[in-house]
Amino acid sequence: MATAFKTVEPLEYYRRFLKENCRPDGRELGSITTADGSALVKLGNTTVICGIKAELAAPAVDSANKGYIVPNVELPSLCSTRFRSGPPGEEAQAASQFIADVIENSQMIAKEDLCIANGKLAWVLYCDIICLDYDGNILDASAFALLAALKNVQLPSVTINEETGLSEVNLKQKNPLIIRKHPVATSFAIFDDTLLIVDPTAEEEDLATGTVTIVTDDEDRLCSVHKPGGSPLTGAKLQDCITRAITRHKEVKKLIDKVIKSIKPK
Amino acid sequence: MPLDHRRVRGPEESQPPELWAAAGEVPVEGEEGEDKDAAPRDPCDLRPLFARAGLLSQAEGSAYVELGGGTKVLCAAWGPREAAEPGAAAPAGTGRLLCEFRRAPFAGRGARWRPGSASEREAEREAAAALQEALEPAVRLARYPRARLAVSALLLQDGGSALAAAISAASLALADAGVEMYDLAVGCALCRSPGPAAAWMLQPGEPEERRAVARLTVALLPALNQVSAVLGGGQGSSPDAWVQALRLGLDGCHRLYPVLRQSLLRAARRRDATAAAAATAATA
Amino acid sequence: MAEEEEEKMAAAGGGCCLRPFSCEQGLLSRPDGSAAFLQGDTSVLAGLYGPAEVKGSKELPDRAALEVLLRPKVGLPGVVERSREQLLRQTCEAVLLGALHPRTAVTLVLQVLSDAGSLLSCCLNAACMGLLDAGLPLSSLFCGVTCALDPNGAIVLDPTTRQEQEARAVLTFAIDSTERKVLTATTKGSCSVEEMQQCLVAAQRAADTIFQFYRDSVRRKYSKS
Repeated sequence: MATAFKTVEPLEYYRRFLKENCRPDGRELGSITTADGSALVKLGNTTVICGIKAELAAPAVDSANKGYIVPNVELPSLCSTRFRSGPPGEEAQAASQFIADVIENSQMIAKEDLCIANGKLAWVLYCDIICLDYDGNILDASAFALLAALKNVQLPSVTINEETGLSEVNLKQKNPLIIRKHPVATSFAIFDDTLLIVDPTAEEEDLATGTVTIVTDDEDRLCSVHKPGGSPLTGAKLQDCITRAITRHKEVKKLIDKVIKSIKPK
Repeated sequence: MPLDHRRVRGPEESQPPELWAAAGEVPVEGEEGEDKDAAPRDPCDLRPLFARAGLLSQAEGSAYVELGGGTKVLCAAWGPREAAEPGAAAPAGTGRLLCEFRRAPFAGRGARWRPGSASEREAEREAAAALQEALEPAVRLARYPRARLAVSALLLQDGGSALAAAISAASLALADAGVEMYDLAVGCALCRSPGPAAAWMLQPGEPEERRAVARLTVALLPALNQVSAVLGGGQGSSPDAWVQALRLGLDGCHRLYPVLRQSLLRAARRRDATAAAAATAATA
Repeated sequence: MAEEEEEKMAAAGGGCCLRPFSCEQGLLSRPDGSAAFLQGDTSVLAGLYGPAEVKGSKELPDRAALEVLLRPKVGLPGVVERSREQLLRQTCEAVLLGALHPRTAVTLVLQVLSDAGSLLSCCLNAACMGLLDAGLPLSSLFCGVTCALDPNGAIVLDPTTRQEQEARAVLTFAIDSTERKVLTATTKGSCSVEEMQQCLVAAQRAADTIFQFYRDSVRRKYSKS
């Protein structure tokens, strides 16, 4: 991208700007410096961006030693004509709930880790997942973007001053989050009640008679089996989906590790 | 504030960590600190602009514009389609241009923008109106009677001059969608730092914009040499200073124009190449 | 015509029992079909309207447009309810022969009366009985079964709220009546693949009991009136 840009720009000063700002790939869109962690995920044409902002709040009364994770999926009118502008519709809300369930079921982050002072102060991780280009399989892409963004969250260290009882934030000293599990979602579209297609596009989803999403973690345990209605499946077919999801988990995990490693030496 | 039932809610209240930063520590270090130390920048300097058109698969036209300071705007355009309510608002015989300007909750520095809150909705409505004002003169709306064209902009990161970037991105997206236009609307922002001797600066970054006492965004149709929008305000500038600012801004627009045109040409070439490849694949 | 009966059911296998079920159909006069379904202390009221005239934007040219509204016991519906509405709608769509009523609207309203565990399966059962009471054409029936895996790994069918909280994982299935296939599945917590399959088998076995209950309930209703 950058090389093409460099060669065709007609004005001298743009050339100079570009030489200084040369970027190797399209990754710049994924790194949002105003967020504490971010990731851009593309599955085919489907593009999803996840930005995480960390804020401080008092823990809830009934869980004094826990922080909060607040995931929200947005499907703005920008990503497809099928969505209208305005507050999130049914599909966006169902996707938000699915992501919230994945976080809760997999225990990918122990909410206790987000607590700074018992009953007084805890982190709130606002995970905003926005679809930029909707071409099906939004659940897989959202779960993937969330995991990748959480992987590069850097939280400033917070200490409680013993004398004053006030908290102090050291913005210079940053620590990564502890990710305990790596849940990966794999979706299938069911065709004609029998045929299964992995990672469906929007067109395939529209034609399909149902979808299944399987979420597995590192130990091949099931974090979620999500089949919201649609064509009935036998237990054996469901098993088939799970087996394929476990295989895909390993590939996706490898990809995440590779990407995380590539951005570390900054 | 009424509770939002359509989003997963967090705690009632939360504060950004910057608020709790130890006293004495500069709340926002980094670019700002460097800015102070560095020699005052050339006011005529434009920040690097990266533009790419036709990158979304679902939208009829799309564009992405990034400014050197970190501003990232994605834009999609659709049109023309049948107007939802016939004859509403628009004068007979012309089409309507519907603009939307969303801001990602994580786009700003500091506290997260709460989507759906009254203040956020107000800010988005204002930005959408400004966008529409700047774009309408560029589009040949008379060619689309009783139809509507839609432009949707999403601000992913605000690094200053966001509206100007959105105007450029939106007109690129419209052109990419094949909408008939007189010209591209090119946006350029300026701001003036406090102090009597401070000069106007082109394409300010987010810290500069925050400190500024006066801000101005202009949109120009360069080929026609017509101004489509002037939006600004602030204190402590003489009329002459505003005239000078306007001139500087329009000059900036002229200089940005070739970059946008090139990105559009590249998008068209890319599309031709894929179409040709598809055609040869089909015949083979 | 309204009638109520209660029946204690013992599901086969593992000694796990379903709580006492009870169902009353046609208890509301305004909707086209209605049903109240009780599982232990959990109860859901279903009201069904349609096929009726459809609003312009929701009209589907090839089938009936189904809308499901889930009302919680207190407060306004939130994201959880919206996601369950989607699940319930797509489950009903899978069995409803909507193609027989194109360009119409079918609305199913589910009002939670009390939640004492296994709420989603109770909603599914109430929805199916509601569809049945409205006399809409269905390709098959379905029933909802919730299974909880307690900390020892034993399967508890139709758990109470307490049992759900103690459980490692809670799985809810919708099973169809013709081939005992899985229409819907959703899980809370994590479990191994084998455990999931064991729960599914238990749910399929429990489905037989529930379908027998459906049959008895409907037979009793029609033999009286």
